[in-house]
Amino acid sequence: MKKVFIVLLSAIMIASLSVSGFAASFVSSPSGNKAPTLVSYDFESDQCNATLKITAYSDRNTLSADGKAAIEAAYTSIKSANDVSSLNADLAALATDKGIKGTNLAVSDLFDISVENCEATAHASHGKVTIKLSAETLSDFVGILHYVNGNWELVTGATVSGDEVTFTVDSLSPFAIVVDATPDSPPTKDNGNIYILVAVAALSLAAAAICFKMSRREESTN
Amino acid sequence: MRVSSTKKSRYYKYAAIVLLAVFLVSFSLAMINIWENKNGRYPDQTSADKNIEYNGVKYKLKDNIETFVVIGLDKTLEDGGESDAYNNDKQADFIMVFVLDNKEKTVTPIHINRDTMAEINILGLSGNKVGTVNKQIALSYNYGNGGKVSCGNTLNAVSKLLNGMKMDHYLSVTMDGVPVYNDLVGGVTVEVLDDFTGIDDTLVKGQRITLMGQQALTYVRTREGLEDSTNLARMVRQKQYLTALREKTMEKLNGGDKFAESIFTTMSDYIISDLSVNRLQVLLDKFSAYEFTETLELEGESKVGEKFMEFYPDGDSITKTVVNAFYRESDE
Repeated sequence: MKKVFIVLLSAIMIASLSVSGFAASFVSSPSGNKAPTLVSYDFESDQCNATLKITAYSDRNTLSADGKAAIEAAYTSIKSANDVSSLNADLAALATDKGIKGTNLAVSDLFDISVENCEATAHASHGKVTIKLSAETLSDFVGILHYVNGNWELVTGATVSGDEVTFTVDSLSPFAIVVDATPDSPPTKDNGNIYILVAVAALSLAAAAICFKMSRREESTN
Repeated sequence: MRVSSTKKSRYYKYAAIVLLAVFLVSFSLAMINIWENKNGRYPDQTSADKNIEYNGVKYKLKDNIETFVVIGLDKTLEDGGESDAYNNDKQADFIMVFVLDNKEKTVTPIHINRDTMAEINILGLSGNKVGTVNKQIALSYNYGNGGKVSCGNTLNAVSKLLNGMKMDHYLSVTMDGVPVYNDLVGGVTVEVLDDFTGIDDTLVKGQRITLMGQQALTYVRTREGLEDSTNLARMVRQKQYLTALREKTMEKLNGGDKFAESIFTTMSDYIISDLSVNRLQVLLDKFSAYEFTETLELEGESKVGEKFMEFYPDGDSITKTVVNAFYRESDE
């Protein structure tokens, strides 16, 4: 009985130490995502054992020289476009179909996807790959653009479910997520201001016209 | 005495010119209104209500107030200032809103918990808003170029948190600026509130010491390894440190040895602000002359979310804080 009591007491002491340990556990600070998160990918070819890697634009210095040059060229082309829909005709048509003005399209993310750990001799090409990403801005998703050899192509068949987008491509390089950034409707403003301003404008113009006419009449009286 | 026709003609002409000017102004304003309505380009900061009622009492928004937000970053100067990317990995680890009442000559500080769950604008490649997300307000700084754009995004998030109160100006400082400024004022004396054994053995709980150099940063920044590693506990130390820092700063400013000038020359590398040096000087003069009221903090609930700490401020506490800082009882 004494032994049982000692074992029980020891167990309680160990448990209480653990509880104080839990109480002191540190919860780290969150960090933001600089690029969408790679959720899953699936190569068409079952011979391909490559892995995919996403690189945020801000981390482009970690890419190969060619990769860095490509993503920087992609960035420049987006920044210099007055209208994102001008980057690709299919994107422009898609925006029109959705009733979105080209000038209200915006690129929310620009990132590179590349292949790693691929033994190049194992197969002729990677073939198609279906990629699933999660991103923060997919509630207003319009499309994905793929930067290939200096030109933008619209990735067809991209589908969104919640905060994930799935698409299939047969090559990898910079990608951009395009969203509808139409500004929110303004809060219900008191439009009485506009009516008052228009009324004041109209009355003052009419009064000015009358004054000019009166001025001329007085001059002609002279 | 009859007015001559020539004079009448002249008066009519003057009147016509004035009326034309009125027409141009009102027409322009009407066009701006119509354009804004069409394009939805209202300032993203929601407009605050001028008149409110809280707990049965009517309040009116104070006039002649200005806000200044100090943002402490979790990165050093070496981690770079403004980047050439549209997002970055810096966070607003410390956020303090100073509400200056220029009529009453008071300053009301509002200390915002970095873990406060808030609506944050997501910024796209062009720095424009492409969506919103609800997460810890510290992460508002991630969006943008890590400099002025990110500061603006944090101000926007703070404004939305505080019921649309306008945030006028900002100053962000990298964390390695803390020991520099600390030493510039000759060190800051505090009674050590927590046990730093194993982290910095010079910081002995209960002892009153003058923090110098890295000690100051350790004291205001450390969480991991302390008995209470929450941000709330850290905020208590930060509030204590800031009160003492302010007192030392005022001492130095009133010392008349061109201290204000030395602040800007020493700290310029560590700070980003939308205010010029001259305007910062004006602000500093106000800080020196005005009376500081008690620091306000939002009350609410802290809990661990999926992985990280999340602080949910109580709606009534937000309103109470906003009323205390921005409103006065209405005469009506």
